[in-house]
Amino acid sequence: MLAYILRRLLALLPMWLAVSFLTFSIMYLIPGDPLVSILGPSASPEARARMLESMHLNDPFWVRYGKWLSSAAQGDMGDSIFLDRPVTQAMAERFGVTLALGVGALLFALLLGLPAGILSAIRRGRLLDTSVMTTALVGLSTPEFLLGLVLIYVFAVELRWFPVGGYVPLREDFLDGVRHLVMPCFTLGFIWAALVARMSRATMLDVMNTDYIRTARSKGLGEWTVVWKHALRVAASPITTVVGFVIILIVSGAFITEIVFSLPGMGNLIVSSVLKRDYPVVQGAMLFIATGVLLINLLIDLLYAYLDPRIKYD
Amino acid sequence: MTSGKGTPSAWERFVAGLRRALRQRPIVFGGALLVLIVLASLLGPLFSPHSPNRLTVAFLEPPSATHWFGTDNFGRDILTRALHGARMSLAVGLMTALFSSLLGTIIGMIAGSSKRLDAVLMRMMDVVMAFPSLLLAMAVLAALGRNVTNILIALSIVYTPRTARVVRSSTLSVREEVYIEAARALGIPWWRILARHVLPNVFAALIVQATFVFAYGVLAEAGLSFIGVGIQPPAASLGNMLGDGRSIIREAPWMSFFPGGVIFALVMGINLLGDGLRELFDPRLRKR
Repeated sequence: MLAYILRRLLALLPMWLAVSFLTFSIMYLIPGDPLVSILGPSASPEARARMLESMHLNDPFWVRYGKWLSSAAQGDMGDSIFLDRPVTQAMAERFGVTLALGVGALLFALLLGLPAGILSAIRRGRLLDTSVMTTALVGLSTPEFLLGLVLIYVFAVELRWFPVGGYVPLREDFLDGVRHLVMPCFTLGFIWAALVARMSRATMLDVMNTDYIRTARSKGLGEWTVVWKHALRVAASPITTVVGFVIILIVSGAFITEIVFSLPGMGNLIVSSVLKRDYPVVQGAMLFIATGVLLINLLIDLLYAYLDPRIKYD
Repeated sequence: MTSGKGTPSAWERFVAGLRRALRQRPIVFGGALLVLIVLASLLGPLFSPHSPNRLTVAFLEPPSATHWFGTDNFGRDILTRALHGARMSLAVGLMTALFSSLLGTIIGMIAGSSKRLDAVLMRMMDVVMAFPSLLLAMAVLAALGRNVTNILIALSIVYTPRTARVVRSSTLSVREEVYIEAARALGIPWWRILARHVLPNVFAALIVQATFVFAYGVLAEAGLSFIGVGIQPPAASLGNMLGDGRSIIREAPWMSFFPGGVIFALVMGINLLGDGLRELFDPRLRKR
């Protein structure tokens, strides 16, 4: 297993290099003079020369990429143009918000999606199955921003149960912090709960149609024992993949949810940086998130290999 | 009407296929919803007495007989704008599905049939997939500039790897079939084998995938426009209409909910169609 993990980690390196290259190249393509957006159109030639020097803008592409990559590998992604602080600091300040949103959304997605999917597989074709699958289809067809706005209108504007938006750190005031997070987490979680429900239902149906489940039933075992002791154990590894997939989707969907609920997270930072062309931040955030996605994928593969004894480590 | 040789003609096969498709309830419902939205978005603006972009003094009027969906903070008719927005969503979604299918099919079929290129091409697809789709689309738009053409380019790049993966795996399973071996033994060139024998067999999977990319494309365009990175005002997009309505949802909920309802109905229609097509093409699912 250890050799397998090491081999997978080594295989990650060229992928990471390719990801960093793509990140750098896209930002390199940005048209217009970056100095105009940093210093303004009326900057003196001396100030421009100083900035060109300090940002290595005179260097050729490969030299700039090399410098950026070696700094990034050491955790230094340069300075933000507009925030007056290092990119890593700007990201670190906002990462906690996105993490809280992501964890809450994942909890909703799993707590709603997994039981719904498994139960509707067991009760296939019945009313429960039809209602769950219809709700799942509705979930998959609803954009996060629409669901978020509906929740804001009903629960914040009309009923006044939750605040319209904003963020209170959980460390400062736990209960108020949770109140601010419930609607954003539900918004993001509900939509992916739909996906979790559909995928876990399909997986369970595959497992329930296998010979050993038939054998377990013919032994006279009760339906719940068959489901809990036999089917769920086998369905666990494909479901792990679904969970990993959903984590990545939550990272992706967090941008919009953060904007809807005015949460000061990474998504909000990235969107405002894209709009202001603060490319060191966009570059840094892209590399950070893509690295996270690569690591999550690796973790899921390893967990899959660990859970499913049929997978060989070679 | 038979071809006289005992084998059904193309027309007969089409009618039989259509009959089978119409037996799938999701295809009928989804198709009907889509046809309704397409017709409304194409014909509606022709009959509407309002202009989508003309500013009037009828600010924030609630739904009425004159303005069925109400008006926005610039006095523009929301129904007319929503129909124009739906046109934009349909166009972006369809073109994204078309371009990513085309690119994905080429890459997927080459990867699936060439052992030499397989690893390189699929690792390239993995690199693109390491970025969350909206993030990559936003970055591409930041680099290329924000307009409709670049939105299409960005979304096509983002969704090509998924299609390439689906086509590759279908190609891999078709590659081992005896008729492909026979075609190879006859000396038929590889590109012809791909076009004449492999493509028709991966077509079902491709159509289903394209339907889902259509839905993703509509949602992604709406999302990008909602956060201000996509279609730029005053051009109407369902996403930027919702974005405009967000800050005054307390005073004018109709500004957000009507365009939102149109996006929902559109994506629901496409998803139903996709689910129905998948069941139609995958007999294993039909038994479920």
